[in-house]
Amino acid sequence: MNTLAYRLSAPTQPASRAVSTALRLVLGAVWLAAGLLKINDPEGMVRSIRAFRILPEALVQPVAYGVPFLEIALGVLLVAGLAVRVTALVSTLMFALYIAAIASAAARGLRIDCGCFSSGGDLSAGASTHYTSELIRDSLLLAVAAVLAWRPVGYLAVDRLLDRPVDDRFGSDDDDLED
Amino acid sequence: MTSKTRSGGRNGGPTRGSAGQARAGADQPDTDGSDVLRKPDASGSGGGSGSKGGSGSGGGRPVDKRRSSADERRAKAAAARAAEAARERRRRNWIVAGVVVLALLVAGGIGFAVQNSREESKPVVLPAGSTGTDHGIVVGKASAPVTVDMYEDFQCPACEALEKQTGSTFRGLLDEGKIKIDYHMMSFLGPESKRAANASAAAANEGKFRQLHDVLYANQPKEHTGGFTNATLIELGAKAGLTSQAYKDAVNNGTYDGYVAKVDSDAGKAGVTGTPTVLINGRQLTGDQLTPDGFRAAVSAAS
Repeated sequence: MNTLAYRLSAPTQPASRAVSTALRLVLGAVWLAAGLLKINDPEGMVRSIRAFRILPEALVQPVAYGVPFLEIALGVLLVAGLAVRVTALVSTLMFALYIAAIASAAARGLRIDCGCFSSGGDLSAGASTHYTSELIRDSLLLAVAAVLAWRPVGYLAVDRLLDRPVDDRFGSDDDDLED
Repeated sequence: MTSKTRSGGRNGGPTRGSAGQARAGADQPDTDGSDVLRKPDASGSGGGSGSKGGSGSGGGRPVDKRRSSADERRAKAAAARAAEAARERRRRNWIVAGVVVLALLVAGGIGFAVQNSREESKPVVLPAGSTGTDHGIVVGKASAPVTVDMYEDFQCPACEALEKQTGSTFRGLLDEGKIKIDYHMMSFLGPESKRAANASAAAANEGKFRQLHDVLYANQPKEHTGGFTNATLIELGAKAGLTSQAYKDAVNNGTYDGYVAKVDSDAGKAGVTGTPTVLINGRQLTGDQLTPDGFRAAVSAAS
């Protein structure tokens, strides 16, 4: 009975779900765009990651080649709404890493383009950096991902189909990983 | 009331409901009613018994007790089923989470494999004259005492500005035999840069790197506008005295694409973080040292 009461009080109100759905689709679209823009320029991605001068040379190529695919996979999962909490948590972690990387580049005075949505890398002498706007943008995305991890239940999600058969009518559309 | 609705809902549900029921029955043999009554208070389904007791307070005590003990059993069974369902759900959620994380890692791995195979397709063909560090193309008299490492991209506007400002000084010092220049033509600004760098390697192979280098900077198209097509590069090559079929073929076939990619990545590994980067004896020149006077001073300081 406690479980029932808990489930009814769980955040499954339409408003919460609508917001969650919107955030999920936005985040998914952002990942898809970010990944697709980078996928055709692997060398650009290598240069961009190398320019941060954080990873050892041996890791630069694997990370540069793998990350765009990872981003696209996250985008697909989020748009489909499969394991939303997990993908949102992974997204949060990735944005945190990006923010840390950009902040450290800024702190070390490197003059690079973050390569967030394209092939970045070093800027030529005249070009200006956009660290502040890049950090603000990634922080907003981090916040979106964190909210989504907190309230992953929305409409139009594969999670809801998966959730149905196991449980009764009341608990069926609760969130995943509620404990 | 609530417990009734719930068990009704459960009975219509899948087989798991009956499994839960069986387990609850095994835990709680219905011989001792009082025991059944006490236990739920601790287990947390006391809310149901409380509300039931309140509603049935008008009836006789023993009857009420028996009825509520039956309710308790049902509630307990329901709770056990709920717990079972929750466990099942948790288990499934962890499986989904694991599968998804694994899928993400596999996606990254596939990406690495795909991009890797794409990269390795171009063989590295070294053009004649690529005798500098990391196979840079060396220009100038062999006896020149000072070697200048020059990292440029044919599409980079700042490089064009440098060539315009200090190019004649470079040419003068090269001709005087005071310096030789080790050219590392980078190609990170897109396909136009790669095509131009490929053409410059083809020119080097015929000993005309310098000529083509200067012609390309004199005719630099706006960045990323699709300039430096193969046709343009053959045309500009003719201006630099490159009219051979070998040059045209090398431009059209991308003969030196592998070399160009290697020069670019070697430059990155060498820590060159932008173009133009000019080094004398491994030390990067500042903006001031890239003016004609500044450069001359830097060269004479090094020689």
